Amino acid sequence: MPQIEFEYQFNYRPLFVETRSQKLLTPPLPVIEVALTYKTVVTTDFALIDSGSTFSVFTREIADELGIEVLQGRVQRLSTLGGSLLAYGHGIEIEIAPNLRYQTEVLFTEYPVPRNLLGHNGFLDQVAVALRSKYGLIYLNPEN
Amino acid sequence: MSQTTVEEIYTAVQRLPSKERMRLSELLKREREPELQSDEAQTDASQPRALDQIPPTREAEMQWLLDHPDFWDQHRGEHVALWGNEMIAVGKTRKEVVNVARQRGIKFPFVQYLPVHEHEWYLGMSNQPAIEP
Repeated sequence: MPQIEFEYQFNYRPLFVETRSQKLLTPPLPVIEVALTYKTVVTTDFALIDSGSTFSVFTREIADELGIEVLQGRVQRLSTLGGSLLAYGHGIEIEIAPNLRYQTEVLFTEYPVPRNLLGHNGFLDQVAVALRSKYGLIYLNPEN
Repeated sequence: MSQTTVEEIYTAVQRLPSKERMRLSELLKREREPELQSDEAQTDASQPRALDQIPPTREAEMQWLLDHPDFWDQHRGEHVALWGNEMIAVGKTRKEVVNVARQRGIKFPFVQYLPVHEHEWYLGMSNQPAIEP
């Protein structure tokens, strides 16, 4: 069995969610704060590591902040439990830690969404991930 | 008019429970951070990394949102920028509220979109390419 060493460790964090009766935090989830760079503009936001997601998806508002013309990207229709939505692919730089930064394509949604996702394309194809939900720990290592 | 001295404040702080002292320490640190960021920007031409300029947790911001449920209802469909226990700006776009924060020296505020509809929260429960008809 191959063994992998991980360079980075993060703690799980909660996200917001709203039910009919209340606003609350979710139990801690594999969420990290990432820096996104397009040309010289940088911003940061939380993103949920989601192995069930084919794509890495960020809210359209981040693209607007970075100066990206969202609708000019590669169009992709997505299906979610909340319905389907359109998203557009653009090349950006993602930074997670000092030696963990890379250029990739992520999708930006057509409309604002309350959370960002790190899925297979744009994250899991770049970073080895181990999750220990019992202890709320995320381990990351750049894939070679 | 009597003036409160630093020593008097320090004595009063020492009487606080440890949880409150930690909270005060966090507030003072947050207050100083924009100043420190500004100093860095002036002295370091190579620009500090974004992730070095954010707090290790965003617990204070999250607590603020939990403590203000009415605020959510008043600002559905809008974005709110927070820094520590302070609401910095609320507006129609993320860019707008981030710009307000940056004008105040806060480079990377915590920004939360407050959805109009509950189902918008479910993005992430499943996210696959849709099968085109």
